[in-house]
Amino acid sequence: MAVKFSEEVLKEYEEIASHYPDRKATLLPALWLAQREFGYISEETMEYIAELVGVPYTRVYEVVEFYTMYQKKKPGKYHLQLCQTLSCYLVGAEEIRNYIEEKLNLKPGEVTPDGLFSFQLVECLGSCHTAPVVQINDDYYENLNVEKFDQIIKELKNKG
Amino acid sequence: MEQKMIKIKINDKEYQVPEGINIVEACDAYKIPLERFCYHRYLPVDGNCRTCMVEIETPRGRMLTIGCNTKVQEGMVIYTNSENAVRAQKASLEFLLLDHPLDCPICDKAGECYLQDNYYNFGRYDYRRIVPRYFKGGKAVDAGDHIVLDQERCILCTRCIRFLDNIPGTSELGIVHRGHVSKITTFPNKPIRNNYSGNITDICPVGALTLKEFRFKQRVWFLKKTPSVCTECARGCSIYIEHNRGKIWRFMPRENPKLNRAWICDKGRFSFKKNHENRVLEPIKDNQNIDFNHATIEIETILQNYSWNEIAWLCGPYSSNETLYILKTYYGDNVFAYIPPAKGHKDDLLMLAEEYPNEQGIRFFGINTDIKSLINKINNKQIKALFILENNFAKFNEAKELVDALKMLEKTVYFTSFQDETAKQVSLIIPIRTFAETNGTYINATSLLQKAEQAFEPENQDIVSLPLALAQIVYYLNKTQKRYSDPSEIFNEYKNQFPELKDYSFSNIPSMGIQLSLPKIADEPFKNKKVDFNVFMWNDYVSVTR
Amino acid sequence: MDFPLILTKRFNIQNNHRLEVALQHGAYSSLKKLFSMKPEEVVEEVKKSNIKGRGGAAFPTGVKWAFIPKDTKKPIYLCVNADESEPGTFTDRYVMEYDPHLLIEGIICSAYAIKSHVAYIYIRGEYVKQYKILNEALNEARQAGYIGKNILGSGFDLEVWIHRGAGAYICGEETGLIESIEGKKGQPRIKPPFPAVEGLFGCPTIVNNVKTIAQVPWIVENGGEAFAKIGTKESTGTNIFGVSGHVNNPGYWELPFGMHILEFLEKYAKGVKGGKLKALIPGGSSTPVLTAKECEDLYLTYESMRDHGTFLGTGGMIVMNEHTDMVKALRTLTRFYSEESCGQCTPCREGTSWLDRLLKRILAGEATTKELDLLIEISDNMEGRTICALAAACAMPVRSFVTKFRADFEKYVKPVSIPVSKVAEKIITHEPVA
Repeated sequence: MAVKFSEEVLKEYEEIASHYPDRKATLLPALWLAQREFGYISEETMEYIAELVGVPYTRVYEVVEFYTMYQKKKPGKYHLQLCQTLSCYLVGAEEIRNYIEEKLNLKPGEVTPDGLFSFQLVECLGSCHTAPVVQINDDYYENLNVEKFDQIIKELKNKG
Repeated sequence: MEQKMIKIKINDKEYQVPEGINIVEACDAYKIPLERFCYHRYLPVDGNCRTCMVEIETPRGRMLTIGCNTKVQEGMVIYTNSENAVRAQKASLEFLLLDHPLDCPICDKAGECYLQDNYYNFGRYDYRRIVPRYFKGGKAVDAGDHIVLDQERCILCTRCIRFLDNIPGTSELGIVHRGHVSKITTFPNKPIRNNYSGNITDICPVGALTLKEFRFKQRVWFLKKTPSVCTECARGCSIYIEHNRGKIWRFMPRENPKLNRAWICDKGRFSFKKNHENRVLEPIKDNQNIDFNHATIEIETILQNYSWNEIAWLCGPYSSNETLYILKTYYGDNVFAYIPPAKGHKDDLLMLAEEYPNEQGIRFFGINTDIKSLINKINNKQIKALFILENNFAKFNEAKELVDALKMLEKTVYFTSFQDETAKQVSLIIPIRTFAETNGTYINATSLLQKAEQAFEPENQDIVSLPLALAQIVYYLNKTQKRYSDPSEIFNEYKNQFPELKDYSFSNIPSMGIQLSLPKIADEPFKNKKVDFNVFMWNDYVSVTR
Repeated sequence: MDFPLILTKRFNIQNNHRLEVALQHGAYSSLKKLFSMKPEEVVEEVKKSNIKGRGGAAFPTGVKWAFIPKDTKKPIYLCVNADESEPGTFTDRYVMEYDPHLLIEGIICSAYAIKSHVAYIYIRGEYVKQYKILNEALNEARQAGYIGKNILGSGFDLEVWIHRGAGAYICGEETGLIESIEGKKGQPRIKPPFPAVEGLFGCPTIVNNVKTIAQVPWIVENGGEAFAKIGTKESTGTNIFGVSGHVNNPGYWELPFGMHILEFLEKYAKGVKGGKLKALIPGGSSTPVLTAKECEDLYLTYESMRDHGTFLGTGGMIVMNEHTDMVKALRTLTRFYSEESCGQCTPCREGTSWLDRLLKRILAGEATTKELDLLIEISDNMEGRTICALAAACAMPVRSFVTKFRADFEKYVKPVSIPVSKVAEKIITHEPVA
């Protein structure tokens, strides 16, 4: 089954391409569109994007592996990204990490068997004054402690 | 080429260099040691290895900087051996070697590896990594038809990526991930496949990219290098024949800024195998091996039984200038040349469709290329004996009429190195030396004359060199009193026909060749390519490509 | 202290990200004056204001703008650096979230000054909420005629586009940002050529931080001299200072330069939490750390920080109390830098990883005092030898932590050396600090 964008998404892509004088510069926006549409970036997606944008295949591969936010395998429905840098470490991010690893039985890079949660350790999320911080999909959850985080996870599990 | 020369100071001595070159080139020109990994004269500057550190004087004091991205200016004061510069050079090497696997005993690159060479001059000699080694993985990955990739040895200098981006333009290699875990790799299931893939193994400073054809075959320090010319097409790229004990182990490109820069195509590079395949090592008559004495008698018989105008000589654009000169000067009217159709792959870089090295020689010496008249003469029985001189025309369908005409001849003799299609059609085969086994000169499609030196003696030392054999024949027939012991003597005689050659003899033909003013029969190489190299020609200086 | 709020004046207004609300409170008011000036005059005012780049490097903005070749025929680009990834820094996001129209106004003023007609805002991929708000604001501004052709009838054209990053700290570096917009990995370029001469798509480019650009409208409206009167002689104007870590009230406040640091911590951050002050990182993790003693005569200015051997950087402070284990704290930083290193040049790529592994060895109790000296020597070998400043940004904290808090490190080292581990191992980047 060949991977490709639908008509509307192609229109969206072409509109973005009009912002740049060089079509090659649309590689990062195109990959964001692909991640939004397909959930993650597979090898076939990379080949399709390479042909759409007009860059060699290897360039797309390099870019996908360089940036940490592009998912190379299917993430869980809720992708937990925990900050592990200094400000968050100083106020207890390690406890949240222990909670995820023990209560959810989830190591970095893994997905829970029910496909609900996946876990990625990331660097400074830019919210140091409300540390510890976890980014779940697109949203920041700030001022966390283990109880609050437990509550959030319960709510997400209920939503399913 | 007129260059503006300026004065600079390196390590407190004054030197004159052309304006606009970078510090690494200036140091190379005067043999001042300076290590480098990512800089290559014919590739865009990347400046990522940080090993060519030098100190330059600025109004704000001494500044440490890399040499490859710094262009020289009038009065610049440079130090490569100051304390800071030496410390920086040693530190960079230490960083590079931190996790480099100790593969020297099994690595093909040993002997020509930059890490080994630079460490000898610039190393710390004080091991202190202390922490566990990072095991990157990825040994001996099959990366293409000819390439073996070792991701662990790679020092991420990006020379191969810059080459594949700029020259063939196929961009198969890239560096994935970032930081310490970055690796060189191809896109999954898309191997390196282009006509110039072998060059990345030359430019790789370490043993990360190696050739399958050379893997584990020879140690580099046993190889002798003989400068020569590739004979696979009319481009005639400069090469080194690297050989040991009479066997060629590989061809390497020889740097020639006027012609092939530092590159050769894969077809030429892997044609070294031909030198040892399908060779004719002894004369063959009617499918029986005979010895050289008998063969000589056979030829003498033919020369006696037929008058001179009943014998024709068919040569081709595969022969060196020495052969063609002897033919033109002493052999009279019945000399013909069959130029095969140009069917090879042609591109904008080096490869040409004409798959023979010396068509210009045929044109210059004015050898008759009208094959139809030869065929007519054979069919009319005007020509009864034909000597075919290293021209395998039977391979080509276009030469069918000529192949058929062979049946009308009474005697056919073939001077060749190989058991090929034409050899099946003739009665007497005389083995001759390949271009690697004898001296010779060739004129390429853009009228550059280059010499191909003899690398070694053939397996059977009695095998003749074709120009010498032809000279021997006319001496035997009393058409000349001249005798030659080596084709280089023939060069020293024919060179007087070219005004450009009058100051040279065979031994001092420059390694970059001599440009003749013959009309060109092909475009210059690297047409339409943006020139990115940092080469400045002055004093005809040629450095070792690194 | 009586000072104007330049960046945060509309932060507390509800729905200020809406154009109609922002206009009621003075958004885009500088444009009338702007278009009556010549571009060179705007650059002069910015030079007179002596505003320094708020992104961390503190390069005088007016001088940077003047680097563009006067006679260039190529299009000039303006890039706004909203890739805020420096640990401890978190104030650009609020400018974009609470007052996007101030940023857009700043972009119009800056682009007009440098004669640019296309501007790109490079926002980090994680800031999704801010991206959506900024995008909406841009659309509103475009519809109302503040962006596009012939802005407010002045004859000046400008287009502004947002380019999302995807999770790389190195894309906050000037040329790394340019490479990322061009669709490649964000690996910085060697300089020369400098971006002001040959940058984005080969054309002259100016890259400035969000807060720097957002202060330009005030300078246009009130003049560079008025700006220079705020703060101190070398550190002019105001900045948003943020505090995180062991304080009772972490947050951010806009203040003029010049306040005493301990006064600032008491008055705004309400003091150190959980114990006495032990260490303070002044401006994002790339700046050398300061001991409590050194903070006694330290002011929030570029020159005072410089005299103490550190940098003000982005102004995002991290406070550590007396119970902090400095070795573990340093380990989070070296892990950060070795993850974020782009991998292009040798000293940074190998050096950051070597430092990280050495700290791991120290934490495991297998190191000697010789290795503490080795940490310093590696840091010396990394600084100043690389294409960009990430290696220096890693070397400076390591050197300052080890020299100033040596006692903490010496708790971990043994007098007798344990032999070098002979076993090669895979790098595990996600294992815990302890």
